[in-house]
Amino acid sequence: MPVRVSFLLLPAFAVLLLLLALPLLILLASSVDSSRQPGPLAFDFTLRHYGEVFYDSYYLEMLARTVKLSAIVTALCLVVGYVLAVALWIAGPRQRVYLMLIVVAPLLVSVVARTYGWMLILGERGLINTSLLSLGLIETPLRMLFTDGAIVLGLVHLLTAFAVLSIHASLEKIDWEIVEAAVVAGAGPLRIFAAILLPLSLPGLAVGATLVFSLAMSAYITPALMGGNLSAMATLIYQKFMVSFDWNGGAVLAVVLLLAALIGVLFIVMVAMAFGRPRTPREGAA
Amino acid sequence: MAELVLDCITKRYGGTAVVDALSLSLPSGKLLTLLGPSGCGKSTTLRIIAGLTPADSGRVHLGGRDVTALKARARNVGMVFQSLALFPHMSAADNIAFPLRVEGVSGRDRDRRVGKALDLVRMGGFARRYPDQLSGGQRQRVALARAIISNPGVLLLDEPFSALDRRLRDEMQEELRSLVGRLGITTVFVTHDQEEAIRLSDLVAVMRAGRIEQLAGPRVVYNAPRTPFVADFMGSVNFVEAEIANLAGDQVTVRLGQSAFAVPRPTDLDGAPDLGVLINVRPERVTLADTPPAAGPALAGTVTNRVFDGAFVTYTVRLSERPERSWIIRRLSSEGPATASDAVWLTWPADATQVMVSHANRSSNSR
Amino acid sequence: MSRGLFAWVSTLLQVWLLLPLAAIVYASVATDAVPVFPPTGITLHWYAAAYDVGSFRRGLEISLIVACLSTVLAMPVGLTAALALARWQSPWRAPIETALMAPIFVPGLVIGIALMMAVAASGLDIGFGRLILGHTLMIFPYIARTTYASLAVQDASLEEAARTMGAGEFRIVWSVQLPLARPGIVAGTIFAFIMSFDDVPVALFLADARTTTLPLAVLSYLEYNFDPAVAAVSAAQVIFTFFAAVLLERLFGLKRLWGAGNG
Repeated sequence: MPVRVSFLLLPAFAVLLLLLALPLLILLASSVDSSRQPGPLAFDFTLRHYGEVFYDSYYLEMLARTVKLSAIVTALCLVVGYVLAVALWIAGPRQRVYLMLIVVAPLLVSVVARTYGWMLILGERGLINTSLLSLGLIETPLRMLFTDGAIVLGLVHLLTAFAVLSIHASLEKIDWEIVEAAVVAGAGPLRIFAAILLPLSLPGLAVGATLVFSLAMSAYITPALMGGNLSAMATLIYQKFMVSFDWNGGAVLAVVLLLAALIGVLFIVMVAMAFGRPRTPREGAA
Repeated sequence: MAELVLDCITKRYGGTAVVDALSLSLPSGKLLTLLGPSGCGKSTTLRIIAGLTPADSGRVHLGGRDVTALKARARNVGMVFQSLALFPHMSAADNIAFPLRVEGVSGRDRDRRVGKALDLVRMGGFARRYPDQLSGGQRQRVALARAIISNPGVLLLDEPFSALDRRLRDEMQEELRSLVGRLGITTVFVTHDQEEAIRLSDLVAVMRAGRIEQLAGPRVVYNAPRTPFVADFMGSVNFVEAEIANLAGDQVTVRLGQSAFAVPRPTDLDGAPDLGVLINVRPERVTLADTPPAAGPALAGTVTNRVFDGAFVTYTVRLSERPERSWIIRRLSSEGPATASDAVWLTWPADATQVMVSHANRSSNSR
Repeated sequence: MSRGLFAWVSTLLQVWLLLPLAAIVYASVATDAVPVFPPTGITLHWYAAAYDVGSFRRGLEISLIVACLSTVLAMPVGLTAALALARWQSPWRAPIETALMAPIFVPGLVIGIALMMAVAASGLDIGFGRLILGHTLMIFPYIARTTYASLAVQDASLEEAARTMGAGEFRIVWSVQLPLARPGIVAGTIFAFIMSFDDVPVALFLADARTTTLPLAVLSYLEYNFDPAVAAVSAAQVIFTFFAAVLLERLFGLKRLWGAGNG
């Protein structure tokens, strides 16, 4: 029986190995190999590419900027996501279906269509500007697109769903009688949130934060389209590969970005554990 | 003065009334059980008292004050939920302290009261344990302590012991009984277990379809059920049709087959002679004999089944006159075999007979 | 926060989530080349205009081919993986499940770059195949997850009952387990198709001039044009996706598709 079962796993593992693990290894190797990419690997270790990239502080500044934007996006997603997750939690079954559709809608539409929608609203000749101009409230169009604010708005809009789904998964595990017990004890909405819901949904918050943060770090179409020249690390990686054809440099930046995302995720997990109850949780992780 | 008064409470879901014009009043310091099968509205009634479910109409008075308009958080009730609803991320002490924190009771005063409550439920050594590190009975005690810590006007318990095994349940019932007695808290307890209701209560309200069928002391409800439903729910399943021969003062003469006998007249029995009634006798009051008794109630029947369950032997006897009815008779097994043959006579003390108006509930015989 | 305030905030956020999608649909039917409110008139002209853009027509064709082929390739991979997970009682199941879901959590950017470099390093010219392989990797976990979720809730005694009737392993899978898991399989397949059809991050690296998918075509069109033909294409996609989402919710539940904390 186990023999047959592992046989069933073969196709999936072949795909994972050949199309994910091996390519990732090649990506990693290219960043520390003396060969010029694209081309065969020389299997000769060097940190030269890292030196070339970080000779210029521009990339480090860009990394810092990306981390900062991702942190802001993560924080906003958690706040917005919490509100919607609670709404989803307390909604009736019918209402919940609509709410669910609304929450995942941005995820189901291609990033191009979604970003184009924001451009229609925020652009120099977008709906907000044309409306305000025709009402005479402003003289010249407001600059909303191609700002950091626009990048954050676009990313929060896209990634909120992940926060909502993770937090909701945690809330769902809370017995409603626990909330009622707090109500009977005299607690108001704010205290119920702070003393009951927040600590009990911490695992969901942590999962949501790690998902949102890592996805925000690697997002590049939304920043490229909504941020214009003010892009992010991922946009630079794209340019390295597809515009300046510096694959080694691109590989270096990709590895750095992955590492930064990983450090960020570890940081979030540590914060969550520090705030969690001070003993080993018994239930398995979500 | 009545501590808890419900005045004509009604609650409907969809078209059906879950609680139907229910009124009751519970004196201060007494323990009332709402007893009934699932879906009878007992839990809804409890939630209406707590303020967790708004009633469609009717008033709730607590300690002489109309609290109908008050939200749950302002009613100062203590509640033990079916799931216990302990806060899983708080230690036992923090769970118990929660209502005090909400009230704004600070530091030392709070610690002192939490310590006292822990001692009261004999959990002094477990203050720092978390709910998932406590046994079922210990969790019950924490939930109980949390419910009484802020001196609630009324303590509400929603089938808190239903998940416990029998021995632990007996122990917790004893403990609840003595705790409530010592503190003198007015208490409403919801259960579907008639034994539990009888052990715990000063008053039992047997509920059915959103209404109270009978509200009385446990002895009365057990020994003198007023409706077939109550009798049946209290485990008294022996019914047979009879007639009223004579109504005189506080006595009724019942004619049953060949026999006739006088029993005390129930307050709600009015009617002419020859009125059809239903009589009910508890299984443990009936005796079996090979020959008809000289006097008193008597019924002929055939034993169709004998079950030995330890202390008791339970006989199932099909009545000869009314073969569609079978009676259950429970005798001490130490008495030895009651009869030699399967053809038997049933008899019981006349005062063990409950007389009910028979048209009241023909449909309630199934359980 | 009071209940009323909470309801207001929550409603506002929902409107905000739908805002860009609503703007697309709005712009696609408004007469004005530059969207204004209120619109001068209502028209379907932009849909016709979009159809006249050659790169859109070609892109749609390619997107459909890529999505179909990668879904067809991903199906057996996902199904076998789900069957293995459902049948394996082992402490290794949880880590294997996590490994199988890796393509969902590895950013598209990284998948794209890594595959591009790997294909280049292999020295093979697989043309079209590059994008299809990338999408197969990206979408098979969705099929595996929904199928596994459907299999996991099946009553194990059904399998045992079939076994006592003499059914072999293959028959049990084919006649009992898979038919019962159909809602999950269908939902996973639809979702996988959408994910491939919508994809930009992976395709940006793996597509070439011959395999410009519809989203890529729209993206490059946007560099030089900003007319409602794009709105029409996007609106068509929004509307299509809406119906697909309703179908997915009916079949399987949207929440479980992303499976944050799937049980």
